Amino acid sequence: MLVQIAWRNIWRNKRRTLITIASIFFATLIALLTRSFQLGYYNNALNSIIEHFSGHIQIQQKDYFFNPGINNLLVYNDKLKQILDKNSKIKYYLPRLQSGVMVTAKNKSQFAIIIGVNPEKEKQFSQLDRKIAKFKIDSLTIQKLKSKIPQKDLQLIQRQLLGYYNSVAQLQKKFKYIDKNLLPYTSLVAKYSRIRGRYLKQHENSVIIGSKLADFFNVKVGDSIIVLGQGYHGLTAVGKFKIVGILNFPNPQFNQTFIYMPLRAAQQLFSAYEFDQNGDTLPLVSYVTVNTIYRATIRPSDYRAIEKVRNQLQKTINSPQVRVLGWHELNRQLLEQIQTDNISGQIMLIVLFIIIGLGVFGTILMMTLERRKEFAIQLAIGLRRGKLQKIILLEILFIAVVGILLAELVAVPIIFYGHYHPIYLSSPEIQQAYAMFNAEPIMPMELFGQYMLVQPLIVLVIIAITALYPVLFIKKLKIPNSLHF
Amino acid sequence: MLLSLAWKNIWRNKLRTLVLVSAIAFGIAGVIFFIGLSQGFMDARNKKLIDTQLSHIQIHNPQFESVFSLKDTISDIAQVESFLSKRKFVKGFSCRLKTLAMATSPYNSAGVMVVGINPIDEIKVTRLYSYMADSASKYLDRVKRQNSIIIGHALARRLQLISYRLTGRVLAELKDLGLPQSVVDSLAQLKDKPFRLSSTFYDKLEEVLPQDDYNKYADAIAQHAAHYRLHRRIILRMQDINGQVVEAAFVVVGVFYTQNDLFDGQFVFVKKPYLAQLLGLPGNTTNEVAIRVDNPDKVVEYQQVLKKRFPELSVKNMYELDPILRISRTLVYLYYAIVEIFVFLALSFGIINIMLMAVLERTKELGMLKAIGMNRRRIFVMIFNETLLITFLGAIIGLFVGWLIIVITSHTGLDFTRFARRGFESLGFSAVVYPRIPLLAMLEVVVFVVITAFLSSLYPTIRALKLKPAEALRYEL
Repeated sequence: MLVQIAWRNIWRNKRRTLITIASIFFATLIALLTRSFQLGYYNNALNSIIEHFSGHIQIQQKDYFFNPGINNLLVYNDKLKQILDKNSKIKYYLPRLQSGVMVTAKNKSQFAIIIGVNPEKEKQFSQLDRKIAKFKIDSLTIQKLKSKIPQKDLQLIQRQLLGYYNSVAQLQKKFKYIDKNLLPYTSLVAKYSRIRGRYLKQHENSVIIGSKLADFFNVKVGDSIIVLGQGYHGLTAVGKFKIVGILNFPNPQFNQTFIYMPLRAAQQLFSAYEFDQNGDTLPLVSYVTVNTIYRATIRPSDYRAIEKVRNQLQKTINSPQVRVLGWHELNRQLLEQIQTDNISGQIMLIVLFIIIGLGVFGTILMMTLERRKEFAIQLAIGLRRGKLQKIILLEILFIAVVGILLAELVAVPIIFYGHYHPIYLSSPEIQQAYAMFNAEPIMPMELFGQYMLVQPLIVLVIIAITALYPVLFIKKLKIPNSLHF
Repeated sequence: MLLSLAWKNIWRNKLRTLVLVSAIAFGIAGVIFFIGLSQGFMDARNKKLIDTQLSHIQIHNPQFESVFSLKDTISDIAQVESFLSKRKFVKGFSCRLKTLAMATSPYNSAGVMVVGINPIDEIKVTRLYSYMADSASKYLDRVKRQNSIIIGHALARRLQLISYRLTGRVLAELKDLGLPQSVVDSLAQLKDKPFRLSSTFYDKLEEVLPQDDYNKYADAIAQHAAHYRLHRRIILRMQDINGQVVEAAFVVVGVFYTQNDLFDGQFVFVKKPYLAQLLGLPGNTTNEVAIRVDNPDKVVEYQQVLKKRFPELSVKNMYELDPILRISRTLVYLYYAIVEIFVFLALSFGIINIMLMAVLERTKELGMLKAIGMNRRRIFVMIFNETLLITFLGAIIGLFVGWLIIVITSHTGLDFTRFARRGFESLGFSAVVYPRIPLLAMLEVVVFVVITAFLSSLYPTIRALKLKPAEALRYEL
């Protein structure tokens, strides 16, 4: 009965109802979209580092985390592989062996980090194959282009565009950014700047080397480097390796530091083997990176799911020599940065919610004052104050639910679009800053999650607080005065 | 006349006007506070970056940046020095010799950037000496030994030059830091026990603490319990000017801690004459000149002076040296604008809704005004003025309150130590933040306020004009 009256009441004055619904609708929509952007931003940063760099979980020898040296290596045997293969929650895993060495080439020496990888698995994980440089614009290229491109444009290329590129598309993007007039030359420049270079093959004694290292040594594909370092248990690690490709990462630090080679070659270089009781050799690695079927986000449920896999692994491996680490331990600094940033994000949301709350309160206030006479008449003809209060509360509830549902309905396609067509940040400063984290310079919206419920719930609580006003108003209403209003 | 009419009208319903005014005031003050806080974080980060690493202007041989080779030095360093020492705007400059090396301790090795400095010159440019990790650590200007070296906390940890001990003083410090009593109590059982390795110390912590507390506090505890093993030797292996690999032992006299793991893990500082001698170079060889100027706001102007004098050298200012610093100067205003758009959008919906209701409930009154001969233009101006007055009233209060908050907090500072301490600091931020609102950001807010005021005044007014006087007179509540 009360429900029916309330429902009819709200449609008696359509204009008023629509305005109130609109105010709640916009409030919820803005809260949803803001949060979606914030979460999308955090998860994009997390994702690039965890999914493609540290992995969800790492299996290490127990001391490796604090002392990542060549002597704290993990036995990578069939038993471990079986455990990982059997776990249905694991999407894939890959072993790596890494250590710092002195590298010499053409009479120059420098420190570098050798990473031994499984080339096939690495493709899936860090997409290393896409980092191979295919073009290099240098003074030689400029020389060759001299007669083919007008002097002015050539100078622009020489000043702004020297360096390595991994694809024609990347070249094109950069050209477009520097000067649109350069675009027609893309294929010409590509033709004269193409360099040799390919990705690693499973069993070969060759390396791919960071572009800044290559420039330092002044080497190109086909040249060799000599590696000198410390192997397992004090053995000397020496080897000569042919360069088959140049790596061009977005992060300049990586280009200056990393050399990749097939895992088998790295194990031989560092003598990373042990013998069991039967005299069989056991291969050693620095760590095994594991990615689960879940996503690594700041969402607590995702975190717990991965944490569960980690605990399972620690239990089934069941060895005091092995430590299984989760991504939050591997990336403690990053995680805390994001959590801190989240604080300022939430400060902004609080400001937003107070504005929204006051806006909704204003609307409900007006609605109440407008109906003063109506309330007085209803009370005068014998409606209990308590019942009238209930009717009003029901009205507000209906309006709130309609407004919130509408907002969700409208938000869904926007969020879908914003997730799959993220805003691309084209400014070179932002791109450079993102490159330091090896993240893509995009601003995706976060696809659906808890926040789709939490934000509307907060709006609902705000409305509930503002609804106190009409309730108090009815309680204090003086019938005789109000009848003449 | 119409203005005073509008002013009287808005006070006919005091509560409504107050609600709207406070919503607007709050929104604007909130935005200003938010921007001030973000700016405060950034200022602290930038200051530290400039103080410890960047300085204001750096000069290199242009070759030095693309190919890092010892041959690419600044050939005519004497001329640069004499020019700089005569410039008034130069507060200090340091001629450095940088090279890459592999640092080795008995336990581990790591790639490092060795920076050879003359300590007396360097302290006029960077303030790394104020970031020494403990009282026993000395900056290079206070030691005589020529093969002294100072290294960062992260490198000390990697080379295992840290031991840990929870003394009574450390426990008291941790308690002051705000660690829960239960954690301090559990730590008491490890009191005065020495740990030589990080791994064994962390393992022990994990053993005595509940998992959650361990995750939250382990780093802070380790940080305070760390005791650097100074005066140990580390070996630097590097390449000299002839391509020969040279090895030399250095004595660690100090450890610095800037809370930036990248910097603390990669940069080591030694005395320049000794480094040059090791590398087979003359003692004054320089491949980087770092300059501190008197007024950082004029850095671009000063840079031009230097560029003109030394066209063959690469002269870069701090914004060109660090992308995040560059963002903090330009793009950050775009970010503020996006935040403002969201807040003011929410605000204008509130204003439009409430004023629309206010106008529509006065249908009869407006009809009456029209009937007695008030023309459309005047009604338009009157209603428009009402919304405008309310918005500007709120805006003035909001701007004032926001400004006041910033002025007060910029003096007292806001202490975020209790929140994720490491999070702030690892970004190079400081845990105590001094909010500041740049003039440009304040102007941005004012522009947005004006736009919001006019746009949200427009719609209710247009609706008011569409009312028909004859119908309006008949309109009953």
